[in-house]
Amino acid sequence: MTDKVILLVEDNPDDQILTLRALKENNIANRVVIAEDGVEALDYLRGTGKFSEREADDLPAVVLLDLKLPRVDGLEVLRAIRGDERTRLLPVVILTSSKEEQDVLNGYRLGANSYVRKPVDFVQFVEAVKQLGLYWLVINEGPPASARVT
Amino acid sequence: MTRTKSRDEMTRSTTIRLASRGSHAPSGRRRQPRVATLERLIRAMAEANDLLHHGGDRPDLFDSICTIVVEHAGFRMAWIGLPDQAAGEVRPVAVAGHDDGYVAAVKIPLGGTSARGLGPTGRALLKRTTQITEDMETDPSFAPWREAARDRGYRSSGVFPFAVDDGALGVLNVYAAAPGAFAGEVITLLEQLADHLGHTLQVTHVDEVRRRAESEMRRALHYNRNLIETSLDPLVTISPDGKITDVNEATVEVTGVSRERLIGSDFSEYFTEPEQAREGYRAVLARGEVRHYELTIRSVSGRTTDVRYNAAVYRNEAGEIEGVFAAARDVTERNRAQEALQQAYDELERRVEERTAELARANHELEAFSYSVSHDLRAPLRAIDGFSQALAEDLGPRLGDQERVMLDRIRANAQNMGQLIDDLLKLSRLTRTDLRHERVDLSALARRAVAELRLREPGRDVEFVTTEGLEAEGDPQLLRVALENLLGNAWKFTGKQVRARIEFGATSDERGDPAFFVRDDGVGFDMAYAGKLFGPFQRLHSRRDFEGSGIGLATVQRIVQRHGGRVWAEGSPNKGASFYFVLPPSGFGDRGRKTTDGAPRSEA
Repeated sequence: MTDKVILLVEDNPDDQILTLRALKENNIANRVVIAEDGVEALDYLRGTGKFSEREADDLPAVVLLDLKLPRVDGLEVLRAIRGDERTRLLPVVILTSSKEEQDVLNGYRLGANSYVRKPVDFVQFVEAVKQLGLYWLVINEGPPASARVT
Repeated sequence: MTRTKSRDEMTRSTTIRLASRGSHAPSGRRRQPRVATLERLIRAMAEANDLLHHGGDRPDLFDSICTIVVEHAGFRMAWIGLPDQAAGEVRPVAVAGHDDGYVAAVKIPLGGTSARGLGPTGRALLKRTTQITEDMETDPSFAPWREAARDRGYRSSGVFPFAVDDGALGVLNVYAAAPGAFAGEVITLLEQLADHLGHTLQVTHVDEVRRRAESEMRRALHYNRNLIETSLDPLVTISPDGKITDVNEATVEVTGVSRERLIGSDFSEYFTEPEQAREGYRAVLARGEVRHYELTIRSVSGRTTDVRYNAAVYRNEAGEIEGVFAAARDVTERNRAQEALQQAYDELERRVEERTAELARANHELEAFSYSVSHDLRAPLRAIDGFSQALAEDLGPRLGDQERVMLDRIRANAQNMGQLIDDLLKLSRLTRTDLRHERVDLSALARRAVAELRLREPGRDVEFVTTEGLEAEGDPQLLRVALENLLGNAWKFTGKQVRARIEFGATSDERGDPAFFVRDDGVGFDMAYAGKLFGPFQRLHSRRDFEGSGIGLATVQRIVQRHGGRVWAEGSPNKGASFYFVLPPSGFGDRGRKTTDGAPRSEA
């Protein structure tokens, strides 16, 4: 389980800290990679740019994706992820403060696996992260690695 | 009564009589005075006949005749009377001589049955012949007037009838001072005078009739022509081959062409579309009439006048078509007004489109704004809450109770603000969405809302009463939100009692319009603050007692107002509250975008 990486796409440093803390409080020890915006996220997944040293085939177990990002926004990233054969099946959880119907709709339309709204209440947030962690890292069976090989 | 004679004839016959007077010697009369009298009489008669010959006004005529008879012929009194059928008696129209009111009192009825009707005048009218009273003193038929006559010195009289219009008779009555003054030539001469009088009257009558007829005709002609010329509408008559046969002043004015030039010229010459004009009068000739035929007249100065023609054929006495009579109505103003109206409509439509586009843009901007708000405002709140909690956790036992409370308050506020933001966003969204018009079962919505409340708090003992089948027209989503808010409030503010009763029903407002209500028996409110109830974030209870952001009623009000209705509330501390709302059955406050119809166009 520990080699499952969580890709957290989040530009807000406060949210970064809080999310990491929430994961820690839930004893989720997986490595968390933080991408500060959409470009970095895609670089990571493709092994390009900032992450050109990386082995691109090593995909994260789950992507926690915020929607409001600078440069390339969350939905664009999602579209790119789903558009790339290599990452088409990658589990993506939209984790955002927006509850706007349009966002939820577009998220699912573009192929997000889940949509979770970040509550203001930190205690609730910690609980939500716990559930997410439990589900996506433990309970859920990710797509087989072989599927990623083209 | 003798037949009418010419003047010459009369003069001749008079002379003849004079010459042969010997054979007409009356009884018991001296010749000398008789000759003198006769001579005078003849001269007077000549004068009178002369007068008659030259005609003249009737009243004057009668007066003159009487005067001549009295003054020139030497009789005592003479009067002329005409039959007044309406009054049923003989009406004196002229008197001369010693009258003293005799004639006025004479009173001779027409149709002689009474004594007065059978006097000399009466008989004269009946028998249509001269009537002589030789001696008034002795003639029994003169009894009714004897005394009056005696007083005035009359002794004998002669009544000489003459024909007036329509076979009626008038009378010339002559009175003499001496008895037996009327005999022989005297009678003849006076008869001739009466004859002549009658004849003249008839001629005058005929003349007068003719003159009156002529004058009538002239007046009628003038009246007709006057009307035609005065008409503000250009009038024209057109011959069957399309030539103008008559015009009025208005036609001259609108074409700028003289009457003489117009008459005889081609009707179609004066229009911007001559062929159209020709078709116009051809249509009249074919159909008998044409209405509202639009043409444009062009005057010599180039000025155009839009007109509408109403035209019909007119016929002569034999019934044959003589031509077309056409009247034009100036519609330039009307056309211009319609054009202006059309332009105004177009302008209006354009502006409406512009405004709607603006509105859509504004809405869109608001949408984008709200979206940003929902993200950007919440993130810091999350941080505040999160780090406060983190702090509390990390400090652990090192945190005193007071400090922990303070951190809790920080968190509570951050969460509270998060809720406020959500509520505000919801409220703003409400006013932006389009309204749907459907029949909504409010009772069903209410029941569902209460059911949900029960699910969330199953421990509560709440009795819910509702009338089934209460319906209204509106947007189902919005009405659901409104009811949820009202019922949620009722649920909340009865939370502190053991048992609660919530009711949803219908009643009518003070105007008699149907109104719905949600009533509870909870903590109520002070009516003094009723005005604040529906303001956003206004609360009449402390947050400690009842949670809530105070946006619920503002939401309800906005929803109901969007439907064109209104809300109000009644309450009393600890005696519950009732919230009423009216939803107008038809016609909403907000119908969404209206489309303007095309402006009315003129008909051909």
